[in-house]
Amino acid sequence: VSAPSAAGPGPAAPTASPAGPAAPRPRRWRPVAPAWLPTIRAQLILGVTAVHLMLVAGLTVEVVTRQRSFLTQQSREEAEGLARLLALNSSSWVLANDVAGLGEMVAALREHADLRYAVVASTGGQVLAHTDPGKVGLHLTDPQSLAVLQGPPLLQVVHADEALLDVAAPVFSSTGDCIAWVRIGEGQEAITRNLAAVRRDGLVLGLAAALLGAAFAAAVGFRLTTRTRHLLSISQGVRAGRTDLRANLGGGDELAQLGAGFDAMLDGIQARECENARLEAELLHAQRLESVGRLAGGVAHDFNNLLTAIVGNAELIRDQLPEGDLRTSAGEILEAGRRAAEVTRGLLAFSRKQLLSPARLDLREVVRGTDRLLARLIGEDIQVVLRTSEEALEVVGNRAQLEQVLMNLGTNARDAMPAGGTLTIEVSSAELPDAEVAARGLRSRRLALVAVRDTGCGMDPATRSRIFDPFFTTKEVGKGTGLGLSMAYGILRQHGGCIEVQSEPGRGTTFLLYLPLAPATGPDVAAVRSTPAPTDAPVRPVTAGAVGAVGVPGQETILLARVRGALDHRGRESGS
Amino acid sequence: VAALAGCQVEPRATYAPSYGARPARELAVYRLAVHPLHNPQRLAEVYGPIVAHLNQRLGGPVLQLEAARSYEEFESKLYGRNYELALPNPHQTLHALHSGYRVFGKMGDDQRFRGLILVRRDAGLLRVEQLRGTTVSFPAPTALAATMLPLWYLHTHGLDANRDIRRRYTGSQESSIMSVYLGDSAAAATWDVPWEAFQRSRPEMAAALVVRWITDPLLNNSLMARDDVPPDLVQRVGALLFALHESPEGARLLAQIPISRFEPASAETYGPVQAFLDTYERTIQ
Repeated sequence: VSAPSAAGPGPAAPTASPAGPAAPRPRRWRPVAPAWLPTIRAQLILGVTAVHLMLVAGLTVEVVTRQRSFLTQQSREEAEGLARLLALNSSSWVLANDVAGLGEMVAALREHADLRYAVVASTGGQVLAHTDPGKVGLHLTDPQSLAVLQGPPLLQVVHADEALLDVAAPVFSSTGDCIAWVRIGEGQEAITRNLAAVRRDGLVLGLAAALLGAAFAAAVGFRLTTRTRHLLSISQGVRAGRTDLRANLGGGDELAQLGAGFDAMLDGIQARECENARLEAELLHAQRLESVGRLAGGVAHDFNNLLTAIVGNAELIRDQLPEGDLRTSAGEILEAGRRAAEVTRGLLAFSRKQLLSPARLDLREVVRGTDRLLARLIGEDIQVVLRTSEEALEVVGNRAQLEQVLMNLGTNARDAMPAGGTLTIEVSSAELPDAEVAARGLRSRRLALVAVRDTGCGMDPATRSRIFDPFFTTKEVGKGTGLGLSMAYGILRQHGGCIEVQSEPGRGTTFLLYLPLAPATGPDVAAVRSTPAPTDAPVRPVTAGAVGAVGVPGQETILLARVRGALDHRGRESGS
Repeated sequence: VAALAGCQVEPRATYAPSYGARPARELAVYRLAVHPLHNPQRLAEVYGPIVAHLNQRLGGPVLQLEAARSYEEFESKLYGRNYELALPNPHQTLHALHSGYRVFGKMGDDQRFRGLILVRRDAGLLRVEQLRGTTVSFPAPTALAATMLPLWYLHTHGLDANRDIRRRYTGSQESSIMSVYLGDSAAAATWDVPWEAFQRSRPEMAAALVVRWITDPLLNNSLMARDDVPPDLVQRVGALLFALHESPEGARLLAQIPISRFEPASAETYGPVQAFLDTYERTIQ
């Protein structure tokens, strides 16, 4: 029997699999809570109180029964002893029919608190002595007394109930003849009073035990239900979306353990949600960079073609002009075009539209190869520390591009450490969980990791979130294109890897470069080539003597015109 | 729990002996009182079997033996007509005649109805005169054989019983004997029956004593009936008693007393006793 579930959505009831009959499930014991005992606290209080009352009542009944038996036996022994003693002492007085002497003996028995009467009667039933002197001379007439008088001369109980115990003892002469009877009537009020006192004490103890038990149960129940309700409120809050709530139940009991487990579950949920949010943010960021890259790549592609014409024509014009202002202006046009070509090259790298010549590389050698260049680039104030693993870390990639990435990161590190510091480059292997691999868009779990760590000023989260955006820079105007990290991002993505940053203001910055390790056999260039190959070569300034058999990299008219013009110019100059 | 502890119900008595002025079963009971020849228990031992013997043969009326703890008590009841039948001593017999009793028999063996005067063997008392100034114990002033005869003996053998000795009445025959044994008195008066009983029950004490003087005998104790007792019952009781010595069983009962027989008697039989008492009472105060 299951109680109706609480209001609100609950866990869906398990249903049988449509593929076949459901496997038998183990039966679950479900206690039945009476409707009139809706709470654990009430059940606990009533249960403990009832148990206490039943126990004390049972104990009292047992004690009363035993006490009644003991007191009754004691009273009987006392009455029999008294009757025997009176019978023994009465013998001579009965033989002498000395009712005065018998009367004195019987009167002495009045000191016994529970004595109702003491009688010495002849064998014919005439009262010879009585604690009530007015009955001396009368005759016993009740059936029980007559039965005693006519029966065998034995010590016997004539009557026994809760009010009276009547014992008869024969009086013997020295010859053994029964010459009279003694009757002792002993009231049982003392027993009744004693038993009543026991019952009273039992009641008091029972009530005290019940009260203490109820108080204890109430305290335990209060603590239990309060904490249970607290857990319930926490669960309701979590269901409403509050993942920051925690039970924080103190103590070491089972409920506290349940609360700790509950909190641990909430911690796990919150951590997972944070991780999901982080991954989602990263995904959004990656998508945004992808969009930007696609846009920038498209623009750079077109712009690169235009620049080819601009630069080529500017070069022709400059070469045909005499020395003077116009030639200088043409040279400035040419220089501006070259700088623009650099920008487009960065954008193409960011958008992964550069041509690659992939090869199987040991990443350690690539990094070591940049050591001298980096030292020259970043100056003497910054110490470069290089740590590489002992095992070879082979990747498939383009050495120049990877070196370019390291140089860009070195440049940024230098700028982040104007007062000097340490630039540490560590090369190692890494293996990420499948979820991390998928979240990062990687193709392999087995990775080479290059960590580039500086001790510079670090970045705040806002800066950190935009560093891979094209043209984003924190440097002064004219000191950076804002494409270095974008290029690094694009190059790593183009190599099937990724780049991540860890940084906090004042605590330095670490760039993590993940590259998939190459398969054990044969160069795997497909991975790199699979990246959409750019249809446009980067702008390459065409210089005199650099062209022999010239191929035309593009089909655009402008480009053809520019090539034609350049050939004409060369032909005129050389006369061929 | 409330029922257990809260309800203290006073138990109501369901029984109490009931009493009536008349017995539930009417039985004709006749008390046969024997004067304190012995203490009550001893008296019951001696005379109880005889009473039982009579009850077995009477077939209707019941005789009930009654002892007395002292002569005073016995005489008080006797003269107050509390006994239907009695076995008083001769002196009491004469007084009881004035209380409505009649003599219908007596113990036999009158020669044994005599007084004895005991002294300690180590007392060195050989002559009556040696008792002068001493204490002599007696059972009771009215004990004919154990008091009156010994006093008369002392009075007629050299002492003034009124002046030369201090009398101590102990209340019973045995107490009188014990008095001289314990040294409370120089001599003790008793008579044959209690002395023989004492010798049987306490021989070590009796061995320290000796009968120094013996009085002349007189008539033995009588059997009396109150004048309202049916004559046929008296006759039947008498007949049974007088025939006791004729059967071995009866003889054994008589030996307990000890006498050889009961015999018929009348008030006139005790004429000599009356004569002795007249003289005694004029002489001994």
